[in-house]
Amino acid sequence: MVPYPSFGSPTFSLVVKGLVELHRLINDGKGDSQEAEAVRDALDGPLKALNRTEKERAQWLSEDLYSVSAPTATIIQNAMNSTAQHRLIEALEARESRDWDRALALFRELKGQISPDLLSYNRGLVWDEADYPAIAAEFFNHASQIDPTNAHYRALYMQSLSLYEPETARNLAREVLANDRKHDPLVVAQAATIRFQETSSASDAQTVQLFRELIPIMERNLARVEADAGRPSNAAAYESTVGKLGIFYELLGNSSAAVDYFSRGLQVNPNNDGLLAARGVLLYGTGARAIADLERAAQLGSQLAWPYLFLAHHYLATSRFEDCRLMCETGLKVRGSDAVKSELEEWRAIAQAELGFPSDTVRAAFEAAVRLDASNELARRNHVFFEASLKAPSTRLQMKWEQKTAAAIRQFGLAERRFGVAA
Amino acid sequence: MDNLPVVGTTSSSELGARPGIDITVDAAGSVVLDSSGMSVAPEWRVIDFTRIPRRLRHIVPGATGANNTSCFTMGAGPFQSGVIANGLELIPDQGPAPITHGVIAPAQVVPEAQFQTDLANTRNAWQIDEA
Repeated sequence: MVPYPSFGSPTFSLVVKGLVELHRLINDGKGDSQEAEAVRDALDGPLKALNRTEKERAQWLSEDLYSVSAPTATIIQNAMNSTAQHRLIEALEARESRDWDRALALFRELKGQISPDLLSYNRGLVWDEADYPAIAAEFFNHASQIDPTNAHYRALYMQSLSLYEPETARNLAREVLANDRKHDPLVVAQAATIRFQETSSASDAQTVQLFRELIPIMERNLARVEADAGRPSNAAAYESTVGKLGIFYELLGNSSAAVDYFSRGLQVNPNNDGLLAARGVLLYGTGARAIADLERAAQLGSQLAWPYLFLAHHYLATSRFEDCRLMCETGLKVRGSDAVKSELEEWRAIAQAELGFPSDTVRAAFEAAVRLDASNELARRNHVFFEASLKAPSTRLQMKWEQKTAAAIRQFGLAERRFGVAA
Repeated sequence: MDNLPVVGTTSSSELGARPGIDITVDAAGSVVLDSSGMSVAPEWRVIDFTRIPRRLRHIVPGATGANNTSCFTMGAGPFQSGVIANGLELIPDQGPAPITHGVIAPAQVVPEAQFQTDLANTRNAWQIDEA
């Protein structure tokens, strides 16, 4: 299951990659080169395979990418009139409702009426949300080049870059962290996030070493944020920095320090779903506070899988099957690893069985759980148990599913956060 | 630089057909009549935007083609199946209107070299059309 309808076919993704490459060559003055011609040749087939909507989208993307190389000094800024203001609101609403083609078209009409950096920033956000980090990075980088003082632009650029050119992003992150005092704290925190992602393929010893390198930098970063309350990026930098410190300490086994950092961030912003989820996961199984944190994160519509995963487990363990089913279904709509989705499918199957759903529905969920993660032995055994119960209906009232303990699911979540995406 | 197309088979912008890409050549060296050939369009604005020279971006947004190439037109007849020059026929794509693509293919099985010569012989019939 994917969270939202995709903004393009796999072929469209190929076209996007080629267009970004072609525009880079054009920007470098190599638009008439053999290299550019080879990119065009490679694009011929994919372009022909696009449907009309995708083809138009690709063509307008190509047009928008020209703005990245346009000399900003030549862009005439007209005063924003009421029509333009109305259009801007429409564009933002279209983005909010994930009507990305319309949002992009409306932003195009605003060219010359909003500042070029703001235009590129908004275009970047659209493509980022549509899951095209390569394009988002082009626009965020452009915004950052126009206004190098805007740390949000720079951080967003680095984040997008890390998704499609991770090695380049890692090198950039190393440069930032090597001279952290020269960069905005928000950019430093983003650099730490990128380096944290390295741990997904690092040994335990390398991970510990990396955290020991990053912790003093992040603590220095926190001190800078606290010392300069007037910086525009401070709130985001503070939340991101304490979040990183919390995760580093959590993964080093220092839970109390981790909880302290997460709590410090939540004092500043009680609605930071990432911090709520992080503290909820860390404290899961120890009391009501964890559940309250996770429920708050879920109420906030977090796009992280953790609140839904842990709440689904909690509701299952407390026989709140309808709540469990709903949490599983919400969790399956956000980004998460196959292992996480396998757990959610398994628990959905159990909740459905307990709620008396048709056996085919339950079976489909169990099968999805095993398909997503062949190593999910509990899903396999619970499926067998379910099938056996169908043959002896009298046992259905005394179903005894095998379930992970709170400690086991917490451990699972911890490992997934290290090997998955940083909170 | 005589405002006529460049004859060749190394680029899709040249007057010619690239073996293995635009046309299929059999073991005997003849062009296979499989409705493949040199790509053409009923008018230049409907060519893929990556093939339209960048200087025409004010007409076709997003155009990213090489500026050292041009858009050419040949004749003034309708874009429909039929012989268009000695040994050559136009085969528009199948499908609902409007048809935006077709190929110039050999009218009968010929050696690849003959097909390329037939295409090259049309060189003087092409003229730049970027209006």
